[in-house]
Amino acid sequence: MIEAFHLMEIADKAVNLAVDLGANYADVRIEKEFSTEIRLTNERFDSAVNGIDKGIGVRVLFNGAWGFSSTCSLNSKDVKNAVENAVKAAKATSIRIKERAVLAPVPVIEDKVETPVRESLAAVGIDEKMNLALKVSGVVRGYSHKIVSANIRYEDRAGEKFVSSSEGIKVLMRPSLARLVIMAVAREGEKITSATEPFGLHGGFEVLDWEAIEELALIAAKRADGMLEAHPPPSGRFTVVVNPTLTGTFAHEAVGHASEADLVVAGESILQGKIGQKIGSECVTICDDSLYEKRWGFSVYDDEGVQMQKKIIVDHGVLTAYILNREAAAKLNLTPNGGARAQSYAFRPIVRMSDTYIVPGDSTFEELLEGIRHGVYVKGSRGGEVDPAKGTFQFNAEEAYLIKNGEITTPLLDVSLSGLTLETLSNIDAVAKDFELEPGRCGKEGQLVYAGTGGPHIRIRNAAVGGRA
Amino acid sequence: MDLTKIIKRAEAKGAQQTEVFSFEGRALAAIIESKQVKICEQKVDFGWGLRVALKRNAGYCLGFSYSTEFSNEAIGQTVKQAVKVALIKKSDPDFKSFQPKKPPVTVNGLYDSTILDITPENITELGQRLVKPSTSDKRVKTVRGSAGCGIGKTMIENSLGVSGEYGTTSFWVGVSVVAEEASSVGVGWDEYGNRFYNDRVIEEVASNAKEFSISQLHPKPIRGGTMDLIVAPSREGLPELLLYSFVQGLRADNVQKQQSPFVGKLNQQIGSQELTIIDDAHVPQALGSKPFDDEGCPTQKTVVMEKGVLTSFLHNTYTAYKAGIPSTGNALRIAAFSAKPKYALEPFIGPTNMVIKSGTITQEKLISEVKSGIITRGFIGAHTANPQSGDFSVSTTGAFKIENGEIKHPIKEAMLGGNILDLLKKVELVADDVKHMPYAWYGVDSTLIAPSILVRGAAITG
Repeated sequence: MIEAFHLMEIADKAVNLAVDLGANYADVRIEKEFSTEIRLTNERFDSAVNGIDKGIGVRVLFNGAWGFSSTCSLNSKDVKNAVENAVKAAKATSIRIKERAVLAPVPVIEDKVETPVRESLAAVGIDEKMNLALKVSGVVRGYSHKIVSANIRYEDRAGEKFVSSSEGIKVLMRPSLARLVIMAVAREGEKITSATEPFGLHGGFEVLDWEAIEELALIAAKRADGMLEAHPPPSGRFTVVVNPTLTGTFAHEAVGHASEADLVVAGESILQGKIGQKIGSECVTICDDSLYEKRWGFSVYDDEGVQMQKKIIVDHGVLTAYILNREAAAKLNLTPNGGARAQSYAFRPIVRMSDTYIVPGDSTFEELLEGIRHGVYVKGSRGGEVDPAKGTFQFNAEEAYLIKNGEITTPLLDVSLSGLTLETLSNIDAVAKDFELEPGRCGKEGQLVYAGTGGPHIRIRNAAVGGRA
Repeated sequence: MDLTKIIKRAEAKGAQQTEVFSFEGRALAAIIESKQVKICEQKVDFGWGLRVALKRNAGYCLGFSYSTEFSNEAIGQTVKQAVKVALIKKSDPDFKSFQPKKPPVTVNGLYDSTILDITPENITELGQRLVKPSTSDKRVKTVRGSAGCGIGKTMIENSLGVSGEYGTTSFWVGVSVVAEEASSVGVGWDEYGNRFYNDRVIEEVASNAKEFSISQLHPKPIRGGTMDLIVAPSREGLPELLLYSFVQGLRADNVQKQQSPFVGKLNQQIGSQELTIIDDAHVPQALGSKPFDDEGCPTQKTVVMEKGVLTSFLHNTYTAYKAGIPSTGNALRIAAFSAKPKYALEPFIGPTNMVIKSGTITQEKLISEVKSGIITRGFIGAHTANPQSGDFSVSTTGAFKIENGEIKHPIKEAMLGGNILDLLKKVELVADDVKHMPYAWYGVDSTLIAPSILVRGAAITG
């Protein structure tokens, strides 16, 4: 508690100094975070690090122009420099700016939120975490002789984050979260395949449930092994059945990014001006849900100290919301919904997703396959990329199968899907009732933040499938 | 900063070998959004990382920790943590030593003192100049980008006598323009990065990006098939395609883990005769240039591919000992998917400046060699490549159709699929329009220096 009080005191001083120096608005984020990162290949640790990162980020508005400054030192001289630098930076922006920023009003909140933790991540020794990684690696490699390696990444973070603003917002958060990413690599002759399964939740070390992890380790191994039999895919347009992981990638990449209001107001999103319009088929509802407890993108407040909300971006095919920060909310005349996040104190908050998913429908998986004469079933994501301005997306599956007459048949290698977001949203004609939500990471403007993606199995008609020729 | 003090403290706690790396950086940038300078940022970061090697059984156990403080208490805790991690690990028989002392090399053009004098007002002015050419054109919908500069100081010391420091500066401008006309959208971009200040490039970068966005308006679909492909030099193009497959495959750690498409391919013809690729840490003013790597090994020029023959992998000290050869000086404290600063990471392996040897013909001549094909500046989705096999499938961005040696029209996205090894074999011509381009997540620490290349018979899906 003394620690937290200390952070709050530094923040208060910094906010006051910024105002004294002429800032019309200032917010300060101070963080002190314990983290562990472990990278294991088979039995060798490429890296195993415990560390404490701390620092302050100061953001100010001067005449509607932004300045930002950060430093990893919390001593009073360095904090003072950081505040002065932020104000100078804002003044330098103000002589160039054309359209001055306005912030939409938000409730002035004073609150303290803490992630419930049974086993503190900082108190659990790094040896225990390293042993967990070794155990997972053993399970993956024990699956079959074709599994040539297991790459295990373990990461956790626990700490304190204090957001304070010149409007009086004071929010202290104590997040705690842990994740394992399990990758199995299989080889037969020249052929190499891999599959990845992540597991991660908010909470203490107790969230890393061994039974669930062991199952995922075996699934990763089985999937990599199975793909050794795969053949190059056909290319062209097909009816595609998409598994929950890739459904999540689509929801995040193609729709989520385009609904980020900073891109919308900058004229860089195809969803600009489309609120209230039908952009997809009736069966599609997409949420960015910051309030899904324990899940990877969960947070009660964002990095502007605004309460985060469950945003229903697409409701039965109709675009209903953007993800907003205060500035974009003011510009669009909307109420802020808590969408401003920063990688750490060293970065300014920008509009980000949290946990993004397609809401389950009422079909069974078998019903999705029914009647497909010649199609493709895609599973697992190797990642994706999107151009929100053009509304194009591209993502690659880890695993795929040919669908023939409603049956899943031959495995296919390195299948990718690409297309136009709006066209694809309209081509989704069935949504299953299953659901998965996975922990991942999202990069935007050089900032990486934790974000979850998921949904049910879905079916897309007339999707562009490509692959290596 | 006294790194020797830290080494002594670690030795007192039982470390047979010790290495301390420190980095201090300052950055100043103007960020452009919505056709204007939106925010100016100033950042300071510093810290140090400690590696210890403790002898046990047939080898050593390695431990690492880091801190952003220099107090006796912080040093004590960091040493304790590094030793603790080492004691948990199994002894590694492949670890022989940290980097031994070698004659230092001198690299010129790392530091431009002009950059020390850049103020927030200066940088926001550069940002405004980047936007200017776009403001007069009604078709330009928006402009995003940044202008920035940085100052860094890197220090290293180890218990084997390695001791060094160097200062660097960096300067970068980049801009991305979205044009719109009759509901058609075109995206264009350009960038420049160097260790030296050079504001004379700004107008060119700005107008290139704008012209490019407009030239991308009203694209037409193309019919797929096997056709010629020219990859023009741009940060979204070849650096993207190479980073996630070729570059990761060249890393000796990946090779030794059997996770590279180049396993067993050393000294074999894997690329076209036209391709010579050198990792060169000594290119004057290039962002990847430096006198020693992040383990204190003097840097060099390493020919990784000579006329298509794979001649070397990229090594750090650990992989070099394991392979029984000298390190190539490619230790780099940057890791994919890690948000940590350099000092908080153990050394991995990465490129410095990867130079594709320039050809002698112009890009124009290269285009004239193509009967039917496409030219592209960028790829989308390159990070989804399979680094173990080198297989990839990407979409093009900023691409045009070429017919009978002439650029005809912009194209709607096309997909390119294949394997990086296969693609490298099909490179038939290399032009002379060399450009310095940053590699995405290596930030300002690695570059690709390359011209346009012509690939014969690429698999394109329309």
